[in-house]
Amino acid sequence: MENLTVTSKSDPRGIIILKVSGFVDASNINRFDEELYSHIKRGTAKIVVDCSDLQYINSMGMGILLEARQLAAKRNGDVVILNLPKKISKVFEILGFNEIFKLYTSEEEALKAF
Amino acid sequence: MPRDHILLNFSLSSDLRELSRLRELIEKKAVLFGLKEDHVYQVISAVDEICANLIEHDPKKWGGGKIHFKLKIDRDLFELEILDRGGYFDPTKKKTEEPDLENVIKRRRGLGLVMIKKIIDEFSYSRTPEGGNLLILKKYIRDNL
Repeated sequence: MENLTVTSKSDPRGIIILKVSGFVDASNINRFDEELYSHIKRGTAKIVVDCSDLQYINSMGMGILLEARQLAAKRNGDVVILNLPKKISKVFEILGFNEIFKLYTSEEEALKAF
Repeated sequence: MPRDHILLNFSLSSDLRELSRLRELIEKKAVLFGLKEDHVYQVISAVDEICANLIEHDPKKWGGGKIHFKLKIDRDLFELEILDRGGYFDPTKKKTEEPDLENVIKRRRGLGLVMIKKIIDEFSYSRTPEGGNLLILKKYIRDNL
C-alpha cells in the first residue's frame, strides 16, 4: 500500500495547493522533497501545503518544509500550512514551528495569505 | 478488569521501510491501552526518529542485524528499551538545545534529536557487555486517563 501520496492543484492566481496524505518518514523523504521542490524549481513561490490527511511527518520532513519556506520567501512567496492535524500541531508547537509557519484551517483563508 | 500495563517484545530489521510497521504496532497497542492520541503520536515520533537514526548511522555494520525492542506501557509511564548490535552510538551525548534552524536548513539534519529530547522525559544510554547499544526512553504520561 502506498504510504505517501502527494497531489497538487493550482488556483487561478497560480498558487499551488499541495496535498500531502499518509506518512512522511525516512523511507520516502526523497519523494516528498522532490514533490515539494518541483514546484519551487519551476518558479512557484506561493504554496499551500494541505495536511488534512497527513498521518505522520518526521523531523526531516519538517526541515524540508522549513527550507521550502525560506526559498519561497526569497522569491516574495511563502509556504503556508492548511489543516494540520492536532497531534502533529503539538509537535510543531514543541519545536516552535507554529511561530514560523502560518497555519490555517480553511483553504479560503490559506489562499488569502497571498 | 482492565490491564494495568502492556509488555511487548519485537524486532526490526535494518530497513527503513520497516519503520511504518513499527509505528503501526506501537500505535495499535498504545491506543488500545487508552493513551491519548497526542501522547501516542509524540512517542511514535521519538521512536521513529531514533530508529531511523540507528539504521542510517552506519548501515554497513548492520549486515543482517536486528534492532530489538522491549516496550512497556503503564498507566503513567511509557518505557521503551532499544537494543542493537551496531557499533558504538550514543545519541544522548550529542549536544542539543534549541533547534538551530539555519543549520537544519543547511544540513537537513539536527532536528530529530532535539525533538526526541523535548518529547522524552528520560533518555539514557549504556554499552552492553556483549558489545551492543542499549537505549532507554521514558515518557511519563500526565493528564491521561
